[in-house]
Amino acid sequence: MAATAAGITVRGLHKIFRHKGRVVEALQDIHLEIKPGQFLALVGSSGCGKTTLLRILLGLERDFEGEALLDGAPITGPGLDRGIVFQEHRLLPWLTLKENVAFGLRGVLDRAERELRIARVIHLVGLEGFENAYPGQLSGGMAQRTAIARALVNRPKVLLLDEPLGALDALTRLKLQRELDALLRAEGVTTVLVTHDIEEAVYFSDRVAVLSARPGRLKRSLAVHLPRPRDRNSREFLALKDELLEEFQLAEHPDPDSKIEYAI
Amino acid sequence: MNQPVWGGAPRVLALTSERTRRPLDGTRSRLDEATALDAAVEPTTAPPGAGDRRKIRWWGHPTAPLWVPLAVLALWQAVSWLAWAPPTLLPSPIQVAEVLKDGALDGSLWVNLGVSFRRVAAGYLLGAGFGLAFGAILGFSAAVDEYVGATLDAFQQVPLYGWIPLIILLVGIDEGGKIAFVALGSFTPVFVNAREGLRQVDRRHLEVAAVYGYGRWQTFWRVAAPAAAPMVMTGLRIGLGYAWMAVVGAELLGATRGVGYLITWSRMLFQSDGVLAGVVLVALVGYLLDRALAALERRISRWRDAHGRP
Amino acid sequence: MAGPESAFSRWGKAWIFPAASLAVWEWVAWERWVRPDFLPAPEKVLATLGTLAASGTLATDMEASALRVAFGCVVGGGLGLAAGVALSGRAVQRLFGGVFHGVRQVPLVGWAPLMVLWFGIGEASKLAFMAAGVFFPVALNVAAGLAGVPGELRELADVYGLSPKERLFQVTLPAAVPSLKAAAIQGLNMAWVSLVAAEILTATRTGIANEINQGRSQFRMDLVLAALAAVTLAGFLCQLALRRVWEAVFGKYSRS
Repeated sequence: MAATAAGITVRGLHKIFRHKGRVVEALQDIHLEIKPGQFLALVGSSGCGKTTLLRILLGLERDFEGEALLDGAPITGPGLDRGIVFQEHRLLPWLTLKENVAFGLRGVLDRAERELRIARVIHLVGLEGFENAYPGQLSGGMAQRTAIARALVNRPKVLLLDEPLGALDALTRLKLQRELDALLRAEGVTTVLVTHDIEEAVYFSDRVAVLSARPGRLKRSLAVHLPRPRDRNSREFLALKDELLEEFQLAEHPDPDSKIEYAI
Repeated sequence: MNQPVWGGAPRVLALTSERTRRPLDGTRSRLDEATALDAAVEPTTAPPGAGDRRKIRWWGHPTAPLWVPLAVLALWQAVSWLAWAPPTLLPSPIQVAEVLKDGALDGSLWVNLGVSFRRVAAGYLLGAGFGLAFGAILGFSAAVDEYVGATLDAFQQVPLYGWIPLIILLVGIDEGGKIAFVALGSFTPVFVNAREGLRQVDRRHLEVAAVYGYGRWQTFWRVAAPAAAPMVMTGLRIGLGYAWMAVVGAELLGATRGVGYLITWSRMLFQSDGVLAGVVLVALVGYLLDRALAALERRISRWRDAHGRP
Repeated sequence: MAGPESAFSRWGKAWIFPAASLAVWEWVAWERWVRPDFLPAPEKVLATLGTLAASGTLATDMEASALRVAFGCVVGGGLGLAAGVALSGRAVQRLFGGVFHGVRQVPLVGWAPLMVLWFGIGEASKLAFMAAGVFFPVALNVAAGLAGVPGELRELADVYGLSPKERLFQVTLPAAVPSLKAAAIQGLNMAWVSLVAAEILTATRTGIANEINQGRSQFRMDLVLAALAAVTLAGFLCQLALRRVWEAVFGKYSRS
């Protein structure tokens, strides 16, 4: 049973931060349209505002200009219709795995229903048998899988991923990418992935949007029509990867004061 | 003022055991990898003394910790036997033990202990209670802390015994005064640790609670309080120690019953064995109270292998 | 988000509560809702403080107390330092740790009657008491600091083949600086705490607590409060001075 997915619309989004008297334009005039069930990847180097955009969609940042809509309704704060997986697993260390997942399950009071949902989602991430383990006993990959389970337990309409695999070692990351890909396709939830790993972006998404830094602007949007699961070594895949990498070799407005954003 | 003065002092002289944390899915944690690598590389240029781990030192003998204490006791006993020091100055350990035994048998020990305990209980509940409440409020709400925090910090600068004359003038020297003194003594460590414990709650965990729609009250009880619990427990333990010291101190100043009274009375009668017995008793009870709370602390901190990571 | 104006408002906020309390206190005293010898007006306390200062009593008292604090710090701190260094070694820890911890269990108050018993009721017992008070936190913190040098740093010293002297000055001591700072701060704190305790518990005739005792027997709260304020301020200033000096001398070791 897949969760009902939602569409996201962002129009004319502007977001500035004030830091020590200076004004930083984190996001400038962002327009995005994500259809229900679609997978969008946001790539950019550090400081390009992609995490800020995610936080706006999550509802943690409310001070912005422009519109951010979920199924047509403005996003005014956090809600159970959106799930998030952060880069650090952010599991509560004093709760067991199962209790951590249960922590995320809100609005369901019937005990049988709760048990069912929690068990389903733990099974989904392949962690049966570890329900009573504490986060301190889990490896990085397992902990992150638990975080994914927690994000999905509410059947969110939108899943937001903020560099979810960034803290893992390369081998675990590859493994988890494959698992997550299968999982998300089965769930069919609208997903927004923020990453600086271009290969990861092409691997997962239906569309890749490139953000530049300072100010954060949507430079490019690329559709990915390859069949899943994707072959990282196919010619099309590599071609897409190349095209995106191109975007980073050319800085649009070279700022003599800024450091090199992306060096390959 | 971000460093708690009492809480958090490392207790290095306790025995520590290294806990190996093995991830349950069979993958190797970084710790495994590091130690495997170490073992693989033979130290060819081993500095002298590196054979430490394999050689058994003479002081590593299992009974070694007992040698010095036993020697001290033996020496002490010998000194009093040989009367190298006058008995009024240094009673023998046997004499001291006898005083304790007599007191235990005729009940005077227990009665006075009970009186002291009652005072500790009352004062500690009062002081720790306020400490927890204030610490929780100031630690969790940065807004309140900005207004009241500095003032409370300043109040803690006043040495504990400085409050005695104030208390005596305001409340009197009997039960009320003693309990007030104990309460004051236990307040500070509990307050400091509660506040610091709450301040140190990982912001990222609080954010998770916000994302899942937990209100302020719920976030406090489900996220902030458990996160701060280990530090709060440490504060409670130290506070109990202070409370016990405070009660003895108050009794030393003026009491007709209680452990402190036993000590003062013995001193006035120049019965040094009584004084020493009383001091030993105070130390012993303090130690037992501390150990009891430490056991409780360990149970609560079961989930902490390392300091809670995100 | 941090700017000059918000720093001031933060500082300002902290003063609102005490200022308000002071105002309430003044008002209560003015209206005589509480007996004046129970709660003297703030200006009376200040006046008393002024009288003490002017008549030189304050200076004499402070001098006596300060000397005691100095003694406690030097003797207690010195012995504590030595003990801490000794206890950082595994052998010493194992052999003497038990005795150290056992003696440490005796609370500060317990030492007072013992000291009086052994040294009489005069100055010696106070000084011994204070030295004992300072000794333990210093020893504990120094031992912890020296023993707690992280394994990686020790291995680094091994790898670079440092001589024992180099190890001490280039690795161990710098790594131990935060603990040494804690030792100094707590030691100083204990010095003042045990000073007040010693002077009050032995009903002293000299030293700042003398004023407290006198105020108590004469039912003069203003004297008690004035003396309390003086001793608190002195302790606070000492701590401040210690932190400044420490920062100046050892500041570079704390940058990590």
